[in-house]
Amino acid sequence: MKFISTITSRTLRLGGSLLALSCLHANEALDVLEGKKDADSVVLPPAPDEEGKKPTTPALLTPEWAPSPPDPVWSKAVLFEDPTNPWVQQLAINGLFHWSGAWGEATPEGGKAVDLDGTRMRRARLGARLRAFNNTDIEAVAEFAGDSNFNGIERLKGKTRFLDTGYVSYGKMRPEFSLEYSTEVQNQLVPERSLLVNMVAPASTLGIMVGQDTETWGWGLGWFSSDNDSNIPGVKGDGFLVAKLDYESHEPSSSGEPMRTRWHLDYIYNFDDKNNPAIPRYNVSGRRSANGNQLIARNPSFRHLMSTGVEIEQGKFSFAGDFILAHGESKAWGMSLTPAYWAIPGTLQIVGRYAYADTDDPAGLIGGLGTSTDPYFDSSPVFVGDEYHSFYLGANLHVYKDEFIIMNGLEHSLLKDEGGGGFDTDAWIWHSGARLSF
Amino acid sequence: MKSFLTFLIAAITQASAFDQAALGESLNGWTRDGSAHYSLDSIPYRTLRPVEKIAEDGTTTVRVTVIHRANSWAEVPFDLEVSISANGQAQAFRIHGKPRGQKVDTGLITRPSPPTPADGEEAVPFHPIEEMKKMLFDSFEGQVLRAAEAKDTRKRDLLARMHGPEPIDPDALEKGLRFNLDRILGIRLRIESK
Repeated sequence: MKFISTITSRTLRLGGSLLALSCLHANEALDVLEGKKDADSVVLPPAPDEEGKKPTTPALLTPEWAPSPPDPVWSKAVLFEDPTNPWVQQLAINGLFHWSGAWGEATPEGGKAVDLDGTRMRRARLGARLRAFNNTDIEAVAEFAGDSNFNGIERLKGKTRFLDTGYVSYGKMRPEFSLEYSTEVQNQLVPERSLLVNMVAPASTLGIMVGQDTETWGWGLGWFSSDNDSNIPGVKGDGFLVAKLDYESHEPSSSGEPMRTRWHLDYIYNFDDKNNPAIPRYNVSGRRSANGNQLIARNPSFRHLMSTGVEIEQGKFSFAGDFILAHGESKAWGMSLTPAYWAIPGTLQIVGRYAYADTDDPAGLIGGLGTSTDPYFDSSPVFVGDEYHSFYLGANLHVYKDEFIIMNGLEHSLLKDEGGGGFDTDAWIWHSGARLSF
Repeated sequence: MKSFLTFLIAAITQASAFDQAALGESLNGWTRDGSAHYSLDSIPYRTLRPVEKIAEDGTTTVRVTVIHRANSWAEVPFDLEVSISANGQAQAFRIHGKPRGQKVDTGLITRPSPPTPADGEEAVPFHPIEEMKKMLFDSFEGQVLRAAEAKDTRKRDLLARMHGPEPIDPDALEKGLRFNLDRILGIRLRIESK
């Protein structure tokens, strides 16, 4: 028994020595084992970094903005701020002015060319936000969208947080669906949303949503009314359900630079699929298309809407990719890929976007071109087709942070109409615009 | 119902462990924008209202953001944290911020233990608060000097580029932070004496 114990202890000692020597030069280790060298005389190499972590590369670009001369003026928008006040912590006014211009021509095959030249005040918003009871944000925004036919209350919503990560949102608000539609206008990289998003997105309407936002996972579940009113909508129809799930991670990339990745999945179930004024939020039934004067017999209608995609931000580079599927009496699907690169960090951002949409329905895609891509906002010419490609390349000049941006870009759009009257449309459009917000 | 409303109001207007009004008074008073504006040797500063956190063991951590107005449009903010135990002793200090996008963090400077005198030697006077202040500002000064010389990693818009980066003045920053630290410690001591 004693013999076994001696053998075991020697084996353990030898094992320990081998482990300690495992990172030594092979010859040095052999000398120690053969007794030619004392183990204590060998200098061990330095230990690896703490917890074996690789040293992180300092960030080349941080999300913070450097101070800018207009800061003192912009800070006047906050009328009152006191985080220690138990009733009201903040009162601020906010506004958005979005001017846009487009110059180009759409040429339908076998049809009359359509002039797309035009400038307009695309959006003008003015509102206020209030933070109260340390957990509730109330937002009211009125919209005056230039010469369009939409004037009214864009949102009137509250959001109350509970149990650290939980929230409930209520009031008139925009249901969060897809990357493009859930991004606030002042943060969008391209002057207008892509055709498919404008075609399927639900209206800002009365609803309630509960959810949770943790550091990584987020989810939300809500119900919205089928009413579509430019002022205060009521409870109408059976409405629609909204469910969303997202996951966000902040991990260093292979080069050691911090990288943010966010994945999302949004789903809408429309109870009033054939008769819901909120999905889609426009009515083009009975109108005629600008390409080939084709009659639009019925408005698109969808029961299921699904969107999934990913956003990546790493240093000067960002990318957003989103896939959308709309299914019901009408069917459409598509995607948008939006890479962006800070050529001069904080000042000049190069932006690209490829948007694709497809349908099996003849003339099943509906949308505008130029400054009037959104059929919701006005009665500008609408185009129909069954396959859509759009390539946009532009540059955004940030005069003052994200609050004053001058946007310029060139777009090439192709709208095929093989299943309809065959009026394939091709357009080259130059976009110029400016956005001011506070 | 009445007792519920009383409970609700009491929960919302929870009494503060730190005398924020006294701190505001010592800094010219809190204004509508949630900060106090004052000058030290003609250098303009502002301090945001403190945020308090009370731990389970009764330790109160007071965090104030001290902002040095570097020029007519640029401000350089730093957060100063002071942890005070339930019996009123300052336990830890910390300063952190990101001037020009560079991380500056002194880490927690905790209360040191008095040195043990060697046999036969007399104990030398020991001032833990002064020791902590020295360690805090030594660490801060070294880091802020490095940050001021490093490349700006923040996003800079067109107007910010045209006007150049804001000046980082380590002496002015230290002066403002030291002034606020002394005010916080002074107020805490006043509360204890009551």
